[in-house]
This record gives sequence, structure tokens and C-alpha cells, in this order.
Amino acid sequence: MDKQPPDESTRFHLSVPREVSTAPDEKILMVLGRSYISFVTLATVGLLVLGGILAAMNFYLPIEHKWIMFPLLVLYFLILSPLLYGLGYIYVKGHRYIITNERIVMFRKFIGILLRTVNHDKITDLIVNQGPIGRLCNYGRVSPITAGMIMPMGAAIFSISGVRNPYEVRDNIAKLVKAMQPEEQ
Amino acid sequence: MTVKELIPPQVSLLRGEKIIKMLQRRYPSIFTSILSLVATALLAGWGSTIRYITQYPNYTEIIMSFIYLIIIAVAGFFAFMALVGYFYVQGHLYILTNRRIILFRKFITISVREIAYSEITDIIVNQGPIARILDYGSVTPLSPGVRGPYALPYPYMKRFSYARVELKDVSQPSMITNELFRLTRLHK
Repeated sequence: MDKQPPDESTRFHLSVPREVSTAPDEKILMVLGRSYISFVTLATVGLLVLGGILAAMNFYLPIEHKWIMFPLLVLYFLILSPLLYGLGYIYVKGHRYIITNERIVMFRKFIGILLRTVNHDKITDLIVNQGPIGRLCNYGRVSPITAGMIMPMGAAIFSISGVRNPYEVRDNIAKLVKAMQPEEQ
Repeated sequence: MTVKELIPPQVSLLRGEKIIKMLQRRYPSIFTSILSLVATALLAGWGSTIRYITQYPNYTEIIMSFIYLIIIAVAGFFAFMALVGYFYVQGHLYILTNRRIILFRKFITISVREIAYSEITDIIVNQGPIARILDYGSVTPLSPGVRGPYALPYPYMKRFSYARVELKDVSQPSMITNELFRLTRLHK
């Protein structure tokens, strides 16, 4: 009996969402996900800022109104922090970046669905951003810029965010872009 | 009624141009728009209103009357918008031909956008939670002329635009996106 060729989505560690389907002759080269640490960094910074505000409030509040700090601290430590990190995990798991030989599909499923498709031949710039924690933990954001999705929006929102080895991803996309775009005369 | 008869007179097809698909905006989408509008209005106004009412000695009575008033106002607004929304939604028509996409909207004013497949740089799909359940969503084909900030599917960033820039609330948006991708491949 002939062996069935493996399904494209099963060749990768991460699955391809059912909302994304490939065209005939289109080959999936990479399926990437967002790293949880990229969200944790953002969430922690946000929580630290909020903690600072609470600390300042505690310092400046008159003694007769200090009781308000107890429910606020309970909300901060027992509800907000676990909720943020817990929901953040689901949020991060909803990200998929699919790089095929013809296009990049950036997909996010969290409450709603957001999807951006960009063909390699339409990419004009590739931008890589890494924060200080991103440099330490080797993750970053690769932003494919096109004539339709210009800076800064193109770099900020619809990007391959929080991806491991961003320079390797950038190089792979750059190779595909070069292969797809016509040679200059 | 034939396909040709469905095409509005403001839209003319080129010689040899064939219609692949005709799409319309889904009617349930209007209800999610109304709901989000009402929710935003209530969220923005309830705090100051309650604070104003509680100044009076018999404020519980006033609050109850206020709640009844809100319910009647919301129901009236909902019914009115549902009726107007029906005609608004019926005015949307999106035509996918073998050469281009035509986005047409006729409601008080008329707006038409035509975009050749070869000019599409990005395709963006946006579905809210209710849209996911009912399987509809907005598909935005971006081009160098209609750029991201004018067509962002984020409500808090969306700029007002007179032009129709998206295939708003069409059925099976993922399938439409794949169809658009297939057509852009053919028109490189």
C-alpha cells in the first residue's frame, strides 16, 4: 500500500490554524509562534508601573483613607496579576506566523481573529526590533513593511512579534523576498 | 434576476471582465455595531449620571425611572437602527471579477472603490467574537493608495474615511481571503 504523504501542518511543531489554507503549489516553510516570555516582559512592566502608582498612592493618602489600599492590593496581587499572566498565556498561544514560499501569514486568535497576509514580492522593508529582555532571551519582532502597511503601524501591530531567533527569521524572509522580486536591471 | 441585473448602474465592467463572486454585507453585523455603540455610550455616561442623581434625597426612585427610560431609549434606538440598518446593509455590494475588486456602497451617498489584484500589498481579516460565532468578518485589501492607518481594523485607531476600504462583514472571511490570495497570485 502506498504511503500517504504527510500533511503539511503535521510536519511542524506548531499547527496551522484551520482558517489558513494554502494555494496549490504553495509550500509552508515555517510555522512560528509567539514566545510567552515576550508577553511576560510586557505584562511585568505594566504591573510594575501600576505597583509604583499604588505605592505612591499609599504614601500620599491621608491616614483616614488608607483602608482603600487593602482592596486595591488584593485586586493587584490576587486577581489582576494571575489573570493577566493566565490570559496572556492563552493570548500568546493564539499567535501563529506561517511563512510559505509565496507569502507570510500573521494570525492571531484571541476573542476575535486578526489575520494579515503579505506576499513576499510586495515587501519593501524588513525591520527587526529587540528590547533589552528580548536581547537576553533571544526574541524580537520582525516587521514586514509594504507600500500599503507603512511605518509605524506596519511595524507596531501586524508583525511577527515575540518570535525566537528574529535575525534568523529575518534572513529567511529576506531570501524569499529576493527570490520573488525581479532582479534589478 | 440575472447577475448583470444585480450590478448597479454606477459599476461598469470592462470588456472580457467576468464576475467571479458577488458578496454582500451580513445583516446581523449591524446589531453588533449597535450593541457596541450602546455599550460605549452607557459606559461613558453612567458614572456621571449616577453621581448627579444621587445628590437628590429620593434618588432610588429617580434611578428606577432612569433605568426604565434607558431601556425604552435603547429599545427604540435598536428598533430604529435595525430598520435603517437593513437598508444600509442592502446598499453594500462587493464584486470580485477576474481583474479587480469593486467595493460599492449606496446609502444616501454613493461610494465606489476599485482595486486591481496586482496592486494589493496586504490582505487583513478582522473578526470580532460575535462575528466568529456567526462566521462573518471584514476583509481589507490594502494598496499603496489605501494604507494601513486608514483601514486599520482596530476600532480605537480607525480613522474616518469616506471611501469604502474594506469588504465589511462578509460571510466566510477566511475563504474570501484565500480566494483573494489565489487571484493576486494570478495577477502578479
